[in-house]
Amino acid sequence: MNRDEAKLELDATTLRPQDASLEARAILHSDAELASWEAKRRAFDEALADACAKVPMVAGLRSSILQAAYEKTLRRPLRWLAPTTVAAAACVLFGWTLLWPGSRAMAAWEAESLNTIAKVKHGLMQLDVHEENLDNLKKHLSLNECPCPSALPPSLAHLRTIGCKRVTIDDHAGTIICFELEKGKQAHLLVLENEGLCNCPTEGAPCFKSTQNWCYASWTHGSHTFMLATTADEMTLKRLFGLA
Amino acid sequence: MDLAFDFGLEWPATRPIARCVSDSPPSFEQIVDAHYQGLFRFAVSMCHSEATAQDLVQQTFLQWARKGHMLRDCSKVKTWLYTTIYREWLSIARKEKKHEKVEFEPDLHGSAQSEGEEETPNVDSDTLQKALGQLDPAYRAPLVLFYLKELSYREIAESLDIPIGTVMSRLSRAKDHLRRILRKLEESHPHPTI
Repeated sequence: MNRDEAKLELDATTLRPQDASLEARAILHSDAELASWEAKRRAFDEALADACAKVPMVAGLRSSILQAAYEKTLRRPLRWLAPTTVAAAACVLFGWTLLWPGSRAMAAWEAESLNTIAKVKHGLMQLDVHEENLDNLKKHLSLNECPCPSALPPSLAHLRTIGCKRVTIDDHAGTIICFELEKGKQAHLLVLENEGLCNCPTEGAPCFKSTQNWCYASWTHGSHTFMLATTADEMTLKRLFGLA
Repeated sequence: MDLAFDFGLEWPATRPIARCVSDSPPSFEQIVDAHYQGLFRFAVSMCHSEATAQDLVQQTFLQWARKGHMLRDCSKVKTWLYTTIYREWLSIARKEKKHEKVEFEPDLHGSAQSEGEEETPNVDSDTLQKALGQLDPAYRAPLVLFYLKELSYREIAESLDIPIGTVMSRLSRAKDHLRRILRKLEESHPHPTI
């Protein structure tokens, strides 16, 4: 460091001498002329620094800073409240339509049956038994005195089963048997004891209906009322009855 | 008046600064208390308007409330605040087209070697502000930061995003120029206020 460089650095540190490098300070101590110059320079700077420190403050500045920060930051989460609420509502609505496909236009037992089937499909109700063979399932149901289908459409009876679940629909005992239609697609058969059941479908040919993303067929055979529901298309459903 | 007490709420940045280098990070209020006066004086010197300076300081602390937690090194809080307020001022100045970049002209601004060292001036804050107003902003900014004594010349360089050598040369020249301006003001008003 030469004298000019030291002078420049000393000039930049008159008010904060601790910031000057040891080298610059050493030059200052060994050069009387430079020391005199630095002292005058420092006196000038201190006078101006004093004047600078006397710039009056605006009244209430501190309060207004804190107030503004409070309003803009602590209230900020409220800005997220609306979109968050909308997103949550959308999720609830989506979940509702997934888990409660039944509607008021349907008979009470139909709506409750379809809602129960939807819960089984989405895993909110666990199957009691996992079994791939329909005959074995039927044996299990008979042994446990659960509603068991005596006759099924042939195409349905040939499908591989997944399992079954014992349910109660509108205070009537029922069984849901799950079939694998194709990979990822299932058909769910509800077998329901129909004694005293209101709005039962008529005996014989199934009645096909659809609601939201579900297609279902319902029919009655003797003491049992059936509902076969799937999220596959209606043609697939009808093929199970040999109708398409 | 303790606003935090009045609202019964905690201020936004009273939460700990994430992964802070020091052990006890300052609260939002502590940071405001430590720096709002210096920031205001810097802002007033740069924009010559109390209202604008107040807005600049508020805006700076709002930025801190929102983004301050991202600063990992607590020792950089002061530099961060001065950098932010300077950038906020630059943004306003550009919009108002008041500040055009001026290259240094030795004849206009003087030089470090040209001045004799006279006696210490007797200057009040109004006169100083008038004199600072006649300096080019490129020289005024480091000089005001220097006189505030808040930042070292290295921190001034960091805050203004200019090289350290430039800060030193600008400080030296700005002081010489300011001395001349003050002398002229004194000549035009022979009885300066103390």
